[in-house]
Amino acid sequence: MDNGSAQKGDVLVKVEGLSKIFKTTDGRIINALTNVNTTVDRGEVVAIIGPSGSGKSTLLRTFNGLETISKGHIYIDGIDLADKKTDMNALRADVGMVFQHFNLFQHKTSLENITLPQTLVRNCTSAQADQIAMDLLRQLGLDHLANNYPSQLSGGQQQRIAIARALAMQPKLMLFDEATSALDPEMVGEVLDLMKGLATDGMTMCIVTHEMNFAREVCDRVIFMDAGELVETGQPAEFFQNPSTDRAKQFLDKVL
Amino acid sequence: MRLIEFYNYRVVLQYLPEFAWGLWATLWISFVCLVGSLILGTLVTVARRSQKRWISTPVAAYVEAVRSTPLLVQLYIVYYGLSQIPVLNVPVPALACGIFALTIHTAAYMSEIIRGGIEAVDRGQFEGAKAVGMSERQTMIHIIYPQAFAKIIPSLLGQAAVLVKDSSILSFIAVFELLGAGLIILSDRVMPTEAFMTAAFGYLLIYLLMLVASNKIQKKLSGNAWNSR
Repeated sequence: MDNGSAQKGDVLVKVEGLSKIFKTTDGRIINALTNVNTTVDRGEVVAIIGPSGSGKSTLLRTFNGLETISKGHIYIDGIDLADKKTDMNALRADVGMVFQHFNLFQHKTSLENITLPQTLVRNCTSAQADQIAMDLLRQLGLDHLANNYPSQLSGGQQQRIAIARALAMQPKLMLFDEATSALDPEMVGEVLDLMKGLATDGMTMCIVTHEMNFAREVCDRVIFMDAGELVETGQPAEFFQNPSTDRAKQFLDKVL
Repeated sequence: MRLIEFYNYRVVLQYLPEFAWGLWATLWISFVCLVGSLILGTLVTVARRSQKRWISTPVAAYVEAVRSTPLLVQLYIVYYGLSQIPVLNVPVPALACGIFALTIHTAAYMSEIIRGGIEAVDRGQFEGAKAVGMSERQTMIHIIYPQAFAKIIPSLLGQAAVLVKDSSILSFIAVFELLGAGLIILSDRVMPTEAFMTAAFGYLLIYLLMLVASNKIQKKLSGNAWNSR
């Protein structure tokens, strides 16, 4: 995965003056993101938190082009996402994304969910893809689910397969959009444990989450968003103990 | 009243070869139109989803035009219209005109059903495919269409049943099929009940066959683990 120039500590994601404006169907204009600036280093694990509607999911979704950029730039490993000439499909192959509702392909087995993107996007042979997928499933302790369809799996199992599908592409960056929000409480742990393992292995991760304990224990840095603005960022210990803005204080009073 | 006074089955038996031939004609004409309309309907759906307005707008106009005018009028336009085109100075056979008209008619309805199927696929499936780097085309072929078609098989079969019944309209341009067999009894013997009851029975027979096939297909599909929810 690592090439010569990629070292832990390099800037992997650089967000510059990012704004995102939606126009609703009835013509109202919504400023979903306003002048966001931040960076994510290689190997860093960043939690993005904030009240609902604060723009945290929108911010995350701009990182792989699921949301377009209205103003500003995002560079991922030096590639400018605001540049119209950027091959977004190639970029998305390098940026894994995990969704709240898993979004596994319903008509494919767990194994096929993991192999299909590899054969289509990475041009692997099906034997190579099978090998990579089975190794990964074994590593994650999910190999017994290889031939099950998503509808036959629990939410926690589906989400772990979805993570495996993203990992099989050997991404530079993993994005998690409220990956545990749709899960029954008893299944949250298995998914968070898997994410914790990835963080320990040095994966660069951006995590939109409501799990404050996870943000505090696992993440290197917290980004606090409110009303489309990046209000505050800092190390979890510092941020949760002693937030420097009133908006963060109010939010933490409510959720902690 | 005895049955034979109402429905002279002895006469019908005499015309059995004509009815068998008509039944066969209806079956194969319908089948050709079904395959053609599924292919054309899929292409129309793809074209209607195009971002390029010069592709999607005329195709949408075609669908609306077909859906808002009677099939018989469409058939006449094709039948009388094709013979007017100078390039095709040789008369186009009525059968070809009929199959062509019935196919473009049914394809418009098929494309609407297919479009409905695509809309019924969860938005998350598009995003899931996009997020792993699949192109729009790969997403449609490998993820969306297989799921959409599985959802709409009952509706497609329903439209196929309508197609079989619609094919009777080809009698208007003297294409021989099941209703045409009935018309032979009518003109030979002036026996409308025998003519049309027998034809109706033939359509009923095809419908029942399709119903059995439909149930088999559905049973097989619900046996598919992914579709069993």
